[in-house]
Amino acid sequence: MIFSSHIFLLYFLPAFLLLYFLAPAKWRNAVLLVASIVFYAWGAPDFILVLLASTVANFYLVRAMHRARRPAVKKGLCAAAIVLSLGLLAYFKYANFFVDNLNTLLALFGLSPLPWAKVLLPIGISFFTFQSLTYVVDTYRGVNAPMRRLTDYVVYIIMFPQLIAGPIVRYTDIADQITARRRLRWGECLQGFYRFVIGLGKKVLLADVIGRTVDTVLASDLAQLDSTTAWVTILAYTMQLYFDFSGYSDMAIGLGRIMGFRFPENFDNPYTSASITEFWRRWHITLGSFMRNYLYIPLGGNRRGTARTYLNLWVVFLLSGLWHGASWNYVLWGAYHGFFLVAERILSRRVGWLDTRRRHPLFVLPTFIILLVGWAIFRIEDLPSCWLFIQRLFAFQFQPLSLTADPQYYTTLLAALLFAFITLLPFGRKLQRAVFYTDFRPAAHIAAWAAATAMFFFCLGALTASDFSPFIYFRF
Amino acid sequence: MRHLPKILCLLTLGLLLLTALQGHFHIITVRPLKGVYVGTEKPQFTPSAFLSGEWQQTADRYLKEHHGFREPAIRLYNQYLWTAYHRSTNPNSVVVGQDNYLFDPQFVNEYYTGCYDYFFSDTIPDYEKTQVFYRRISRLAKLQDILDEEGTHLFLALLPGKERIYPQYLPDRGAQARRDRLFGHLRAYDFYRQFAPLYGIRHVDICHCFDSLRGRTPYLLFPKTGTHWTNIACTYAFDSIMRFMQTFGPPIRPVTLGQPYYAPTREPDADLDSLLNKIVGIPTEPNQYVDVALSDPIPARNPSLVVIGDSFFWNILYNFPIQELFAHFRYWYYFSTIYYDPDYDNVADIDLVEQLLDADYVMISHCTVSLYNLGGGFINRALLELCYDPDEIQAVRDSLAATPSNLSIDKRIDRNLEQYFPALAKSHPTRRSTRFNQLKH
Repeated sequence: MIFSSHIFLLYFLPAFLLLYFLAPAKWRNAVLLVASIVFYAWGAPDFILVLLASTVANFYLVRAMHRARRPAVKKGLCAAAIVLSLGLLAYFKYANFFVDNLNTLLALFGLSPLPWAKVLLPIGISFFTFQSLTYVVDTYRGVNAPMRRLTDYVVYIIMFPQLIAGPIVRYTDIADQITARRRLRWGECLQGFYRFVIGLGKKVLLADVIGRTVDTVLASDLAQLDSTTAWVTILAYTMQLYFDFSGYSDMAIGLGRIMGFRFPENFDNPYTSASITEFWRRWHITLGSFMRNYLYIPLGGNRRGTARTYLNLWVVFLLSGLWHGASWNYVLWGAYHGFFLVAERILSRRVGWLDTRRRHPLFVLPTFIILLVGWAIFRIEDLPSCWLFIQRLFAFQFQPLSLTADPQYYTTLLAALLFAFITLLPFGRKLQRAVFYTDFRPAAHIAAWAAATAMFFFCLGALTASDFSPFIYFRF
Repeated sequence: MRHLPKILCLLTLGLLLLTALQGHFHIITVRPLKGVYVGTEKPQFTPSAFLSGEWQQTADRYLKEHHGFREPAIRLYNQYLWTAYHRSTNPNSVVVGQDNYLFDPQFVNEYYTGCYDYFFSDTIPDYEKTQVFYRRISRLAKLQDILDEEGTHLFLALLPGKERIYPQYLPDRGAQARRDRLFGHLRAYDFYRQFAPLYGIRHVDICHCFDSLRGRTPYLLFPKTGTHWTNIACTYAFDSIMRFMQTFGPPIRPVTLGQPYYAPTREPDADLDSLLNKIVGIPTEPNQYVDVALSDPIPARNPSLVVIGDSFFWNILYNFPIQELFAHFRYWYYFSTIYYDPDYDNVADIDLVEQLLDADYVMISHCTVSLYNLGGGFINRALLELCYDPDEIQAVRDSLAATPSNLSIDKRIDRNLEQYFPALAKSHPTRRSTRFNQLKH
């Protein structure tokens, strides 16, 4: 089930909220648990048992780890829990990729390929694996005690708002909220609803509209693309990806807020970054935070000398790339970002005015162009096609653009660009604070509620109308 | 004010629940959407369908088509697309031309590429079209001869298409499309208007008539926001067709046409606009309408009429008291679905020979777009059933079924009808089927 589906918006969500609001406080986690199981089972019924079994196993492993007195036992149990979580991820997400590559290698040596039945990727596995890891590691590190009740732990892992696409909520950030959430605050619920609708609007009215044309262009013969179309397309994809992903995060954060949770922010105007380093502080913040806390720092971070720091950065970004998908283009994309991060570090040490710690607005544009090329690598999985597309970008064969050909696409793209960069202006920052981070006064609530309700209904219309194309009458 | 957030929260929840309930109980009456589409059937839950995810997918689609307030939600979004971008919200069925003139896309394709295969959504090469047209018209001539002997008057009505009459309002598809139009592509109408007289086909060319009237009438021949001819134009046209029919067939009760009058656009004249399913329709000037009244003298016997054709005849049915003018009226829509027949719904079930021998008039009517598929299978079937017995036809079909081919049996028979059924190769087939002979005696 996805948030922008009719079944979720018009049936699952109202039914869930009704039960959640009616349930006594101590039963709310149970309602959330059952709803989350239904939510997940709707999309992946054959995987729900695997998910639940691994979650239960993890819970008892961590509990045993916490109770163990000998460090070696503790460490062993911690390793077992990590292997369990990563093992599932490796099997379901990377086994096909590994076998495909192995078979390519075998074919090179004239050997027969390994027989292999393709494994289906369960939705959300990348996210709940990382959440399990934070639970294991935070408990091992003694940051938090493990959950007392199994159901609370299962709620943490499979809570439906962030199950499919994040944000990745660290155990330490949410442990208290699961066990001792404050009673419902209607103002919070309402602002959660506004946030949800903003996310829905980003996804349905911006990302989906732009995405339709992007998909069409990228499915065409890339060799025939002129440079203008190529740049506009990758610009559009850049916006599509941002508004799709951040829209989904907004919906998750909004839903969490309705239920009384405060999930961490996942995006902070990433395209206004003046360096790649800054971009990674603003883009998919919870993944960046996870990678820093659970990979970069355990690898030694920047404490083991300059060369090792650069190596650690590369490793983190290669793995981060691979986490996004089991394909070489994602690895390449990770390496591409790793390269620029390392380059920035080297340059900012040696050239004073390039110091990334001093934010220079003029660097926003070059950073954005680096990001655009990076998204081309990210989007086009087939590497020769990706290379061809990048060649078209830099062929400098510009053709005039026919803006009237698809006015909705261009208007939506312009609106997306405006929203993506608006916080470069003081007015934009003020607007963002007012909409996202201010407790509304009653009059503002009325206006915001009316706008959000209208927007919700409008999005519903867009979702419903998208493939409603009747005929006057049947023909034969 | 202290309780405002709570009130708004509960109101939100109430609205969501109302929307869910509206889908099932239709608590509030809403304006229905226009047009037909194949809906998703209600999914049947089975454990295996659930585990494979098939049930969920079907349920998603089903709920998308049946949720509460779906109609106003779609209308709201469509209105936004129209107002903001001037975009057809239903590009499969409506194309926006110049000055907000709306077209069925088939007519636009017909204009630019010619003989768009209405039925298979494909363009047909010219050499293949020519073969098809020659076969059809020569067989039609034979069929006309056979039926004439039995007092059944077959005739062809060539009806106009909007693209032919108002090409200036078509959307501009660019230089290449204009070149294609000028230098290629045979059009069915051009072929049949030229060859129908040469083959002695009894025909009435309303398209030519409209062409000559273009710009000279005080009323529109095609409405701005509709697919078919205007109410008034089709009324005058069918009046002319009835006069034409009486030049070779039995008399028809006369009708009187009233004085034209202005009225707000009526439904059939705005069918394309209604298909956009917006909140507000495209503003149009009032169209002219004319009323039809039965007149005297009443003939001793009302003749019978079978119409085989496309949707243009619907507009005639809106205006003319057809069932009072014709004793037996049958509408074989695209030679598939039957209207105005209490006994049959589909032509597959009828005794074609009996129906043809009972009819006084058989009118094959096509507009420029559907003319490609003249008769829609009627001509071949009528010739075969008039001249051959069902077991003979079946024997040929069986032998064809035994031979593998990429083409369907019907298509193979169509291409080589005279080879498989030699009696039809003669310019005037004399062989008759047993059923024909039974009915004659």
